[in-house]
Order: sequence, then C-alpha cells, then structure tokens
Amino acid sequence: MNSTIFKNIVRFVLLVLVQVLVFSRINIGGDNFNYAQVFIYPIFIMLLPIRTLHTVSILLGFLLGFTIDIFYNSLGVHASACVFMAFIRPYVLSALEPRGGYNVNLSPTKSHFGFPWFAIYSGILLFAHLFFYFSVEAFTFYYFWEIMLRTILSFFISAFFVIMYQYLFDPRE
Amino acid sequence: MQNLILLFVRHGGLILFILLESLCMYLVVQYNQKQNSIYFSSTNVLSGTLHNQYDDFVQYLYLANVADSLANENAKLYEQLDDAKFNRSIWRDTLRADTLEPQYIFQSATVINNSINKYHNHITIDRGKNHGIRPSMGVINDDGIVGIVKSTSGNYSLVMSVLHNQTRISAAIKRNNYFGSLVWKGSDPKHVNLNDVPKHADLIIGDTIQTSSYSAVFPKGIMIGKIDTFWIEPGSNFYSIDVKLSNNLSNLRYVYVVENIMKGEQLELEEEVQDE
Repeated sequence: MNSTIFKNIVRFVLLVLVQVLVFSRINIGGDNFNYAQVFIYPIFIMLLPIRTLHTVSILLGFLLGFTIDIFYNSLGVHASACVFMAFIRPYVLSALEPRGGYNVNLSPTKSHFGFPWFAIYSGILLFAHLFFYFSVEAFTFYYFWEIMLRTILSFFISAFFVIMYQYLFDPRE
Repeated sequence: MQNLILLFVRHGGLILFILLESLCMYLVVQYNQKQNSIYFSSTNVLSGTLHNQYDDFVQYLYLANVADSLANENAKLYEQLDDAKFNRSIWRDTLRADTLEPQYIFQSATVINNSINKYHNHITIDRGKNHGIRPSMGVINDDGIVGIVKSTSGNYSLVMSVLHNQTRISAAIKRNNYFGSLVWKGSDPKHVNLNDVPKHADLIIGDTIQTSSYSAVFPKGIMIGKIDTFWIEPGSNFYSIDVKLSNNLSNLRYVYVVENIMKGEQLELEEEVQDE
C-alpha cells in the first residue's frame, strides 16, 4: 500500500520532469509545422491503481495538469484535459473489463493485462486527452480540422512513447 | 443534508469533474491571452445578439404606441397641406402674407369593425362625440377615401363606407377637373362608378380620380382611384366610368377623420339658394 503511493509519487515527479525538461523542448517539424507534440505525462493517470476513487483520481489529474501548466505557462489548459481524462477513466475501464472482472488492487499495465488490452486502453485515454487539450488550446471549434490534425499527429507520436514506457520500465503497480 | 452527502457519494466524480473543469476554464480565460480574447469576443457576439433580439421584442410590444403617435403626426401633416386650408388672399393687395388658414382638421382613429360584402357597408371607428366627431365628416386613410361619418355615439362613430350604395362623393378627374359623383353599385369592393361626367370630356384609361374642390366634406385632391374602363350608355349625355379604388377597404386599420370647420358657413349660404 505504502509502496504503491510512494511509487506513484516518484512516477508523478519523474513524468513531470521528463515532460517539462525534455519533451516540451522537442519541436517536431520545426516552427512552421507545429502540429505534433509529445505528451507523456498522461501515463500517470493511466497507471493509477484500479481501486483509486473516482474523485481522488480526478483531483490527482487536476494536480498533475496544473503542475504541467505552471511550466508550460498555460494555466488551466493541461489541467482541464487531465481532469477530463481522469473523469472518463472508470468508464473506459468498465467498458474494457475482462470476463473475470478486475483485481482491483492491480494497476492497468501491459504486464497484467497484455499488450493489446493496454494499447486499446491507453489509446482511448490518450486520444481523449489530446483532443480535449487541443480544443481548449484553440478555444473554438472554428478550426475543428486543424484541432483534429494536431490531435492525430500528436496521438501517434505520444502513443509510441507511452508504449515504450511500458517496455522500458515494465511497471507493475 | 443527508441527501446532499448521499448525492456526493454517488455522483462525486461527476460533481468534482464539473467543479474542476469550471475552475480550469476560469484559469484558462483568466491567465491565457489568446483564449481570453476569444472568450470575450465570443461572449460579446452572444450578448450582442441577445440584446438585439430583446430590443426587437420590446420594440414589437411598443409598436401599437408608435403607430398611434405616427397616425397623430400624419393627421397634423395633412392639416399642413395647402388643399386643406382656406385661401384668404385678396388680389387687390400685392402683399400676400400668411393668407392660408386652417380649413380642414384631421384626427386619427382606429377601425374596430368593418364590412365590405353587403349592400350597405359600414365601418366603426373608436372616436365619437367626445372627440368632436359629428355626422357627415369625411374619413380617409393614407391610400385614399374611406367614407363619411353617419352617426356618432360617445366614443364611437359609424362610418358609411364608400362601398355603401347611398354614399355620394363629389369626385373629379385630376388631369382636367371634370367632375361627377361617385356611387357604388354594390358588387365589387374594388370598383366604384363615377357618373355625370359630360360626354365631351376627354378621358384616358388610367386617369387619376380624386376628390373635387366642390365637396364640403373632403379637401381637394384626396386620391380615390384610377379609371379602369369607361363607356357611354346609348342616348345618354354622360359617361359611365368604372373606377378602381386606390385603397383596399378590406384591411383598414388607421384612418383619419376630416373636419371642415367652414362647412357650416358654406352650407348656410347654399341653402339660401335652394329655398328660393
């Protein structure tokens, strides 16, 4: 129990640092084609234990997004996307529930549920997160197709790193 | 209180989600230049549209008042017309200062009852004795003549419409001033007949018919209609003229009652002749 909390705190700090120090400086496509960004910090919300209370995960999502926002200098934008993602997480989990049900003490990781399950799970959450993020960033649906393009391009590159994270660290909690 | 806690336990995620998203949106708008300007321009569009709609609606509510005041203003303007005034100029004096003085007084009124499909069509208006309306005053509207007041009560008057087969109105052809009397044969609410125009008059289809200056009821020059067809009955010395009315009597709303304040004087004088 305590080790789970500790690991999550460490993961929180590391993901924020990596996101802010590394990925926020990567500008794929140069200044004229600013469509693809790498978001790796949503992993934190994806990997919260399944038993985490809905309200707690939403609050943690807000905390995570707010922290990222402080460094991105875009107060509220990442936070709203993270809150949205944390909000839909239980619904995605129940939609993807395996036949035997979940062992609620587990975290939804690749090592527990296999690669295809994790790919679908993280893909849905990541896409929702990115779409919400770019919508709030544009703050208008007037540029809907541009939002869509940014979401899709960022989705592929971010998903790659999310899956890579699973293979590199193979987290179990 | 217990219900409130229960509600939060059951829907805590949703409530927290809405609260935090509201907070996020507040932060987004408050601390981000771009989103802030989009937010304010959008809300401006929204509130502007809303205010416009509200204004339109309120204006609609005041429409009746506006129409009333316009009608009163029109009545005043009619009085300004030269044809509505009595010319006092005297030609032995070369000075002709302010010789027109009011002869016709106009008062706006609203039609509250109307018929066009009988032999004797009447219109009821919401002005009566209390407003100075008396029988045999003329009634017109913006498009032409309407009728003549027949009887009055305290607040209402009954108007004999042009479409009444006892109405006789002195009418003239605008182009050459030949005059006749206007009667309705009791069939078509769009057409009236002009009789007693002598055979030697020169007529063209489309000639304008207006009130003549011989009428003591209407000022000269109020539109009546246009000549539709004309013919001469065999053995007659006068034309029969079919006049298409310029106004539509089936949807009257605002009318003006015309009072000739010199009418008594004129009739008195004319009666002397008839008595002889």
